Amino acid sequence: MSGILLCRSHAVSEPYYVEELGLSLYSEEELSYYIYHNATLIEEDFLDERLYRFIGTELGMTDLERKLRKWQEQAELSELLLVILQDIHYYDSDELFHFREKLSALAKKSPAARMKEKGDTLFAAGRYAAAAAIYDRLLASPGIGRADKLFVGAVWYNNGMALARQYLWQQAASCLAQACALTGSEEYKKKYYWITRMAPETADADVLRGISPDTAARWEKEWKTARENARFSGKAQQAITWLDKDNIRRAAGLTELVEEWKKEYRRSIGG
Amino acid sequence: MQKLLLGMDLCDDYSQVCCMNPLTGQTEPLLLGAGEETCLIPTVICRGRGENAWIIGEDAYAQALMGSGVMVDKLISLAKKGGSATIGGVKYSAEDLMVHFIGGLLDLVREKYGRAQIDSLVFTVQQMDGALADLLVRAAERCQIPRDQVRIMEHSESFLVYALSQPKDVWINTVCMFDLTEDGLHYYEARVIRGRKPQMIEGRHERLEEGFSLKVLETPSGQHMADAILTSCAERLLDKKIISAVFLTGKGFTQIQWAGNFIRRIAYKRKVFAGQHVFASGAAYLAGDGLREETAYPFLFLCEGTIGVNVSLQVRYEGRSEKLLLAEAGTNWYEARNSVEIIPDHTRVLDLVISQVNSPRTDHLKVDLSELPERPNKTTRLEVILSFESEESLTVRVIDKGFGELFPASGKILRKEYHL
Repeated sequence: MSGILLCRSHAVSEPYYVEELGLSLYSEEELSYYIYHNATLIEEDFLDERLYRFIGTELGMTDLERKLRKWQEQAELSELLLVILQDIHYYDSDELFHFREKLSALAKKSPAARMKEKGDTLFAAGRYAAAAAIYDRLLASPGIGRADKLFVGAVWYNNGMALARQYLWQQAASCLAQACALTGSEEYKKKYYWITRMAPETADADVLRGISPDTAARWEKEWKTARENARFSGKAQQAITWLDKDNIRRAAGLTELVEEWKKEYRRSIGG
Repeated sequence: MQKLLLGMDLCDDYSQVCCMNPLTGQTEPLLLGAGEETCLIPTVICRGRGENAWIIGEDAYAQALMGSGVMVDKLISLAKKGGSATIGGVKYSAEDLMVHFIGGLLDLVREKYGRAQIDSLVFTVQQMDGALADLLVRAAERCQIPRDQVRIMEHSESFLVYALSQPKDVWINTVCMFDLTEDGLHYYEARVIRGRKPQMIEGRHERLEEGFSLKVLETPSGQHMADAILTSCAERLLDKKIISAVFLTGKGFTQIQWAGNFIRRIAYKRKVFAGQHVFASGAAYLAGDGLREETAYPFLFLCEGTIGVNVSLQVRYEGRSEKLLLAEAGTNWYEARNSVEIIPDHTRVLDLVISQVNSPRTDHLKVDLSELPERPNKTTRLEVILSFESEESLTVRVIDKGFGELFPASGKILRKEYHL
């Protein structure tokens, strides 16, 4: 459905802090968005006094607060999440239908798959340390030996990527080596190769054994292109935009940008 | 205790103050002079040499004439220009001077009624602009009257309120008014348009080219000429109209004996009233109305100073589609400012609907949102601010507020102007 949603106008004095994502929510729309896109992160303890106070006192949705308190004992978590989304009206009926389907699909998944999905959600949110911790727990769980090799390989791979995002090259390379050994995936090997290019001391010739010179040359070319592109995109691009400004604005803009990056980094490692 | 509900008419030549008496429902002018014979207070201010004592009105003239003070006049024009005046080597802004002038008027009111607190103050000016309106609100605040107790309206609207405050037989048909001042000759008309809800009252104002200096009235031949001019105006303006009452106001009509032919022309089968405080009184009626639970004027005011269109936006709220009225026809343009927060859902256009109250015509003011940062659907909160520079000029500003910490705001502002 397209159109314009009218927001309730009120300023919250105390936002709702989401520890998993390391950020605060300031409105019912943000709360809805968080629930809708992070269902895998939400567990039973989500429905607590802090959330009720935020909904009732800060958002002024006292009816919803009352409903949640009343039904907390009888209803499932998924049902109560739907009640929240329905009452806030940020999502329309089609979107709620999809959310319901997402919840039931999640419920049908094995505990290991749910755990991986939780890690993946944290990874996508830039919470790399938290994601890596989840993958570690999953890889150390007793039943993992019986799980599908491709699934376990994917967990190793994701763990490696989460560690690489924290510049923990040695550990990242070690995880990717495990992923390559379990799956033989060329994509995983390419990422391993790239990590060894970032940190040559991590290289283990066994992992890349059997790779043809043509493939290695292609990866090398891709690596160089990616490195070249990085100079003009992403964070570099953010910094470049400030270089055209006058001295005062440039200094202020760059300082603010660096502060933002620091904040982002701290959040990624769980700070 | 009786509340102080004031209407203050501010013009370059004279100012007037009326106080609404909620018990009688009538307004009382602030009368000055030895025998309380006049409600016209010259809009001048004087600061005594070497003193910080400010004097306003006739006393200011007297002090300046005696050479013991420096006088500043035309305070409204000065305020509109954002000018200043230097007195005794000190530069005073128009706002400073206005604070002293309004403060002086309020002191007179407080003295008369024995109360310090002003409960409501409505300014009325010939023609409002944003700078003057802002200055008056700030000046009132500096005079200890909170912003939410201050309103500003133009003379046209004050006249409509004044007319509607009279017995119904006065405004059963068209009501008109001639305002003769040093500033010129102004003609006002008010007409209630029945058969629609809410009822509409339409006002018209014309500054007549035939205006003349009041000095003309000092000689018999000048009076004769002025009478002829006014009679001719009346014939042109009132011809073939069903008029129930005619008001005469302004310093030129403090005496009306000189205008015999004109009076005979306008008084034929009509009521004629001559008075000096129509605008201040209209403003005072409105000051009193603000404290009522239900307005005594359930009319849509269409006149100079009020907007003639409804501006709306189709929104979804609590799952329902509804038309959100952002600016309502009949509202004083200065007070028609509004802001809302919205979230676009699969759309890159903000489509404001502008509908005329006098015709079925609607127009669309579309704001292209594609210049805002790309984000996932429904993760851009926008503050939409509507403001008017006049009754004919609408400005829409759209500010990107982001989506909390999930998608931080860029602070980008889109701006679009529309001539109504």
